[in-house]
Amino acid sequence: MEYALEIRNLSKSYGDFRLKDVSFSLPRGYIMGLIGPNGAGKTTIIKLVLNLIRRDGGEIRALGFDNLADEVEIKSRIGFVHDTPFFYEHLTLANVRKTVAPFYRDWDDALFRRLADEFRLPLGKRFKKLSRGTKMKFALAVALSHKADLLILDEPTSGLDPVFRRELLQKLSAFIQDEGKSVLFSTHITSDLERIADFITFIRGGEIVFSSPRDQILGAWAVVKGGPELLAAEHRALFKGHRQGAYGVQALTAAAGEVHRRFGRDAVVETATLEEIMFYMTKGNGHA
Amino acid sequence: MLKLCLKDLLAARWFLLANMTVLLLYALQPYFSAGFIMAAGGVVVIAGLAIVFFLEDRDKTEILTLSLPVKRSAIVGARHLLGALFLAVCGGIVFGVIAPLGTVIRSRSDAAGLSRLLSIEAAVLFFVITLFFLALYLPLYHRFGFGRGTIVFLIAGIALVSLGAAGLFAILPAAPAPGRELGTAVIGSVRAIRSSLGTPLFLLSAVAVVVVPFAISLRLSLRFYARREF
Repeated sequence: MEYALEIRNLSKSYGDFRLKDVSFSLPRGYIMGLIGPNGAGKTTIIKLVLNLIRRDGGEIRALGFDNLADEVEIKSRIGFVHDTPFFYEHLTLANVRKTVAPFYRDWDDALFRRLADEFRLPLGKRFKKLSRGTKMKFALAVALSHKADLLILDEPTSGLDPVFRRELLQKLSAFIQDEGKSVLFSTHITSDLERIADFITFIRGGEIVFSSPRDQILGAWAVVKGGPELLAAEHRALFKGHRQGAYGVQALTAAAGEVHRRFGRDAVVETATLEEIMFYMTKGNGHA
Repeated sequence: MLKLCLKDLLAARWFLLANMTVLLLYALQPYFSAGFIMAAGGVVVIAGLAIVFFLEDRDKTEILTLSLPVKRSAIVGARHLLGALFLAVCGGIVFGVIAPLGTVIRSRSDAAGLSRLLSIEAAVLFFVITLFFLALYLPLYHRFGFGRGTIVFLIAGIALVSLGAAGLFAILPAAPAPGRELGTAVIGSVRAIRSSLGTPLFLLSAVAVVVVPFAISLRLSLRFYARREF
């Protein structure tokens, strides 16, 4: 299988944060959601891919190239949207384009104009005068205009209204229709990923919890609701985290079938959403 | 590297133009001597770079630049090139515009002092000293970033200028009146060095004096910037 992004045993320490032996792969032609709570290490991974920070160990290959040895080649084929678009605030969008376009050999000005029309971007307006949504649209238009093979988006939807989020997700779905294009999409708004992601990588405290196809995750993970017997010592290993309230226990499991077999009608087993998985793994009283 | 320079020039063009205009307006005041005008030219060169770095720092566009398909070494090289370009432009303004214009529009006595600017010695002095300060600023910027780098440079720069001025007052043959005549006295001393070395050897020595610190500066900047994290 060809990969758009392969990360092997990536590690990085700074301050009191450590990224520990992170490994995952994004096959070409797919969208991967990188989820995790704030401070989990999502942005650190993206910064390491773009060489904004130095890694302590491990390997990163993007589109078949090593991200250190072939940095220029990789970056010319990656489109990026940072959580805050970093463009010159006092320049008009038309001039911002002039500061970026010359660096890309495959820059397609006609495509940029088309996207600008589609996103209703005011090219004569200064960047600082735009709303956050319009700034993100502009960053996306720039990222798409050099015909990137891999799009890397770091929290592009945070703080944006649902209309734009939906528009962005549609754009990303359309982007990967072109064979061989891939997207790595970091977010903590997990509902976005349930719509479009093919793979989900969950990172917590600098460690990968899982990296699997979305359908496999949503098929295996479940929230179990039942009585206190769920937390009996012989069952605890089934659960990754739980919440205990006045009306019973809710617990997260990655073995929905086994839970069903053990508890039968004594427990309600419901497919877990990504948000629930993230919540229980982060805040729930963990067992595993 | 040229694309990076053009990006910076496009982003900072109006600020840079204002910076150069200030130099022209300042230098054409009748009461400023040749030394003051050369110093102002040097300050404008450094200020030009600082403007570019300030805008980059204000809008955090360094992250954008580092995400573009360019190597860090090219970014460092472009900043050195930009410094050299500002030096060439300011040198052109000081020696190609201010000096000849000043000798025409100023009073006879002022014009006589200013005419010292129209000499090889003055030009060499301007380029050597300004390049030295550029060579000091750039590694500090690449090591500490805009805010801390500029502050450390200013402290180091003021200390060096004070030490240099004190040293010159002590060693110059005819100690000049403080401030106003120091520049012309230094130009006179450089003229003496040129006479003793001969023009070709003098120019060759000047090139060596310029190239060595600039090369060290480039090397240090590359080393510092390779380690920077964003």
